[in-house]
Amino acid sequence: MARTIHRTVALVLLSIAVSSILAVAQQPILSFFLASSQITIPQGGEALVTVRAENNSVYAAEGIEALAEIEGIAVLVEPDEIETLPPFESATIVIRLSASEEVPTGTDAHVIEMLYTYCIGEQCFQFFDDLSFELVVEPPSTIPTEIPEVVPTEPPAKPSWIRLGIVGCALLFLVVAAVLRRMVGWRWPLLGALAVMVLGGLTYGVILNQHEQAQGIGAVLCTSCVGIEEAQHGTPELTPAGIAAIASIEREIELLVFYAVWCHACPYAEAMVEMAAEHNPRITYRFIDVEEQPDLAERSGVIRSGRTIVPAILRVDTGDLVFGAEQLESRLIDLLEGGS
Amino acid sequence: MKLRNRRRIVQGTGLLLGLFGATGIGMTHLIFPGLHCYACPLAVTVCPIGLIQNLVIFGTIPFFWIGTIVAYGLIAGRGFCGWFCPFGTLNDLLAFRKVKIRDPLSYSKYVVLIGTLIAAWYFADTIFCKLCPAASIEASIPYLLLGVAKANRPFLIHMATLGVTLLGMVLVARFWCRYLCPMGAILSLFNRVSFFHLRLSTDRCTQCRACEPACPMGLVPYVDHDNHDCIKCGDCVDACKLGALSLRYGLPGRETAEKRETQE
Repeated sequence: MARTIHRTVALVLLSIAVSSILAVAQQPILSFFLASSQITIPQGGEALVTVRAENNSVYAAEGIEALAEIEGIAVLVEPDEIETLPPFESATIVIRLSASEEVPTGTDAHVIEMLYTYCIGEQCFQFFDDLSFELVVEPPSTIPTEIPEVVPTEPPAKPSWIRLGIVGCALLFLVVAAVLRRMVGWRWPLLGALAVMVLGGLTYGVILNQHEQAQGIGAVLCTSCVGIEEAQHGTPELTPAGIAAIASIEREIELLVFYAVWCHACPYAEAMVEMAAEHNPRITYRFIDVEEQPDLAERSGVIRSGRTIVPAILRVDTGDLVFGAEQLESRLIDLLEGGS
Repeated sequence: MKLRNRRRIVQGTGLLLGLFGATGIGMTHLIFPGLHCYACPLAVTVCPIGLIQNLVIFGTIPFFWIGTIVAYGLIAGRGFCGWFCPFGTLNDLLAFRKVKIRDPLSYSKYVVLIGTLIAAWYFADTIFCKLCPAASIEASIPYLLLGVAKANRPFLIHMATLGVTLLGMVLVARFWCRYLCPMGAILSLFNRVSFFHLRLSTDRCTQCRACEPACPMGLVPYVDHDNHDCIKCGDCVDACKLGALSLRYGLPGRETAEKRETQE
């Protein structure tokens, strides 16, 4: 009897802990809305894309940026970064597209990647959100001159509560079945509940692409996540000597910063590279999501022994790489000065 | 073939699956039914504890994880600890002192499990992975040898936890599995409903206690054959000369129902 009580208490504690964690765990805090999912642009002309960012949380979002790369079309984001979006506020980002005259006509799907961070205490989280749109390039004469009015789409439903409800119902079903087994000796309700959890969990999980998420987490080695190096949080700072060393570099250097969305040390490495570029305009950089561009990661040598290692900073002209974020300033300077 | 030898073959298979990346195959979508670090350069499966920490940090409701783990629970429960888990196999190789289990302490693995989840949420970091002795062997040391890791503070912490765990394993058989393994804690919840189970024929058992010293988990098999900590290794089956204990694969719960009827 005492053992049964112990196990029941352990199960209840576990359920409460898991439910509590699921209920309050970190979630994306911004919703993004495109004014229109189809943008029309004339050859040699311009078009505006308007993105509204809504913060529906109690936390301030920081460093909101829109990133887009479209071949043959220059992209100018205004403002290039929203430093802070306070709780329950919204902001608009305008993306000005300028098409060259040579860009071919036709319709193509493109993505605007929205990037932002937010912090709870000293812990900061970086989130990405992809906004898809169709870009229609047409001959100049057929393009209407009016810029479409910004009509925000309805905010998406919040399925997390539905999903929490599903988990809650499954747990309730399980508890009732366990009680029936214990009190009345019925085995089938418990087996049925567990079978439903297996089939339902796997089916719904696959529908939600959680198997891909699991594979992605397993395939990428986040150096700070498994204790290969110290986790780096917060904003990096360059020392005066470091700034002087970076500013004195006279070669044009392009850096690729490989990251994963869930990597804890990646925002730190990204911010360090951004700071270096601010102090020396000859340094340019691009952020590469290793899960979206695994081929580039493989070609760049970011994959070692079958694992993609993030964060990783590649100097394009020399092919030199720096992994991780520990003692990054000195290692980044070594990378930049190498071969100079 | 003796049960023990069969188990060694299956344990070898578990180890091979854990190191299947040597064939050049990449990471799969499979979750490993034991404690096996996905950061291991040769891993092709995802560590369930590492994954759930990441999902907690992300705020993902882990349907795929739940489905997989409950499936593993139903298939074998803690049988995976005894027959498949590579870290369990390491525990086995160092199981020199099969001392009796301390009941209250055996619940400490649930504390480790809950603590792992809470720490992941609170610190937004995979804290358990930074301490996990399996990761020490399967990630820290290989990456040091590959030149990716350095002998820094996280590495030394890994080595310290590994050292303490290995010492514990030598002093107490299956020390990690008994008291600390969060995956063992999860699987133990399913032990009595899993299809793979230890069966006791009460008409054959003379309560000679021959099975007791054989149990690496320090249990008393003839009294408590469906204990939540039983890893179903079968050492007690080999030790019982009367054939009172056997490992069976069948509909779960029948044993308990029969036991209840006998008691009534």
